[in-house]
Amino acid sequence: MEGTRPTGDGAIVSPARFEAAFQQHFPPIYRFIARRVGPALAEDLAAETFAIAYRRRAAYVPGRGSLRSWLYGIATNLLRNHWRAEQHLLALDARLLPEIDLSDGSDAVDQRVTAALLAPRLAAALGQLSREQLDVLLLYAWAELSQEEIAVVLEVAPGTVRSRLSRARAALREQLGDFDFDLWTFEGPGGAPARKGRGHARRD
Amino acid sequence: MPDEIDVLRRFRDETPGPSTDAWLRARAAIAAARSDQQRPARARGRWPGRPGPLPLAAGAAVAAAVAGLLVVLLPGPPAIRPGGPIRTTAYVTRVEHALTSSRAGNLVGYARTVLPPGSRIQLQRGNMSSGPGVSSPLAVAVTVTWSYHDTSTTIGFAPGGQRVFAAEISPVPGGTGSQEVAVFYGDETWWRATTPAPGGPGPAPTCGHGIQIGPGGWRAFIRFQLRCGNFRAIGRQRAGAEPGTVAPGRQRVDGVSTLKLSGANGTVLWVSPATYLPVRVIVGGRQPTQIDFRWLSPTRANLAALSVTVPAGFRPVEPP
Repeated sequence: MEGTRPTGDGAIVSPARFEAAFQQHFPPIYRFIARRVGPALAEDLAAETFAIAYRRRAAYVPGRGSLRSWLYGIATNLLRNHWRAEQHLLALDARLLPEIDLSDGSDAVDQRVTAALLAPRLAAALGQLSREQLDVLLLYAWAELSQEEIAVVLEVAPGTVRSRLSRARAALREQLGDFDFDLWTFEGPGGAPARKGRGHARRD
Repeated sequence: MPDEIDVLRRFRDETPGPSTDAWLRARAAIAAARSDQQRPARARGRWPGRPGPLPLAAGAAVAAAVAGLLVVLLPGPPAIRPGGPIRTTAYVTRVEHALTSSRAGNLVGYARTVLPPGSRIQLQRGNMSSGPGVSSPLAVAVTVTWSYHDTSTTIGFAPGGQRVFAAEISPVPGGTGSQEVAVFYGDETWWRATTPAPGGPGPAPTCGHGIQIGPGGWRAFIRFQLRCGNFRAIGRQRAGAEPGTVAPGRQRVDGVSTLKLSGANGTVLWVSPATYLPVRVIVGGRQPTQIDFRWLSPTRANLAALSVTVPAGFRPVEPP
C-alpha cells in the first residue's frame, strides 16, 4: 500500500506529529497528483494539500478515518479545480508515440514494449470516464484506499462508490479491448507482432 | 491474478517522487500557513481575508536594506501615498510572510529582468543604476540576478545575448561593509571595491518610487512594496465575504498556476498559490519591465552561480 508505514495515525496537531505525517505522506500524495496533472502543477497542488492540512489539522479526527485517506481527500478536492488540465494531459498521453529503450536486450524489454504500447490506450480509456468515476477508480487503484475510505473521502454512500468503481472498471476493460491479461501480450498498431512477457494472467 | 487495476498500478509505480524543489515548496507552503495562524486573529482576518492594518514594524530594517550598497533605479510610477493608513488583504499578507519566512530565506533566488529597449546600466562603487539620464556604455537588455542570504550576483546581457558585465556583492566578514567585484567583458577590465556600512539606517525609500534593489534583493523590494500597500489582490469577490475583499484571480504564467495581485500604476505581481513566493512581476509605465523569479534549492551548482570569476588577462582598473 503506497505511502503507509506502521506508524501511529493519531492526531496531527502538534508540530512534531504534523512533521512526521508530512514526511510520511508527502511523496505518495505528490505522486498521486503528478500522475493526474503532471509534475509542474503537482508541486503546487501537493504543497497546497499540506498547507490546507496544516490549517485544518485540528479538524482531523483519527477515529473517523485514516490520515492518508483524509489527505487524499484534500488532494482530490484540489484536483477537481484542475479537471480540464487532467483531461488535457490524458488526451496528450493518448496521442503519444511510445518511446521504448531496447538497449539492454533482456526479457524486461518485452515488458517495456507492452507497457509503452499500452500507455496511450490506458490514457484514452481514463479520458472516457466521468469525473466521479475517475476519482473513485484512481483513489482505489493508485491511492489504494478501501471502498469504505473512498466513501468517507468523497462524502458519498458506500453503495455509490461500489457502483462507480464497477462501472469504471467495466469501461476500462472495454476500452482496453484486446489487451490479453493472461499472456501480457499486445497486438501493436498496424498489426505489429505481438510481444510476449512473463507470468501475468487475466482475472475473469 | 492481475487485472485492469494491476495495469493501472504498474503505471503508477513508474511515477518519480517529489524533487528537492517540490519538498522545499511544500515546506514553504506549510511555513506560510503556520505563520498565518500564529498571527493574532485580529490581524489575520477571516478567510479569504479581511482587510486590516499592516504595521510598519520592519520599516527601519527595510530602509537599511534598500539604502544599501546595490541600487537599481528604473523608470517607475511616481511616488504614491507616502504615509497614511496602510491596508492590505490576507492574500497580500501571505505573500509577505512567504518572503520573510526562514525557509524562503534559505532558497537561492533567481531573477531574470527584461529591461525596456535601449536601457543602459551604470555600475559604480556602491550602486548600479539604470533609467532616464543614465549615461553609460553598457547597453543591457536582460539581467540575471542570483541571490542567497546577503550575497548577490548580477550578470548583464546585451540585446544580442553577449555578456556585458558581472557584478558580485557580498558582506565583509564582521559586518563592517560589503565587497564588490565587477567584471566588464567589452573592454576586458575589472575592479574590486570595499564599501563601509552606512553609519545609520540611511534615507528611507519612497513608496512607489521606481525599483530600488538593496542587499535584500527582490525579496526586500517586494516586501517593501507590499508594506507600502502597493499591491492588491484582484479577482472575483467570494460569496459571503465582506465587501472589498476579493479572491485573487488565477492565471497561468509559463504553464504554472499563479495568483495575480495588482499594484499601483500598472504594476502586477503573480505569486505561487502554494508558497506565495513571487513568480513574476511587471512594473508598469510606458515601457514596462518584467522580472521572472525562481526559488531554487541551495545546491552546489546554484551557489556556484553566485561567484564572479575574473577571466585571465582582464586588466584591473580603479572603481569609479
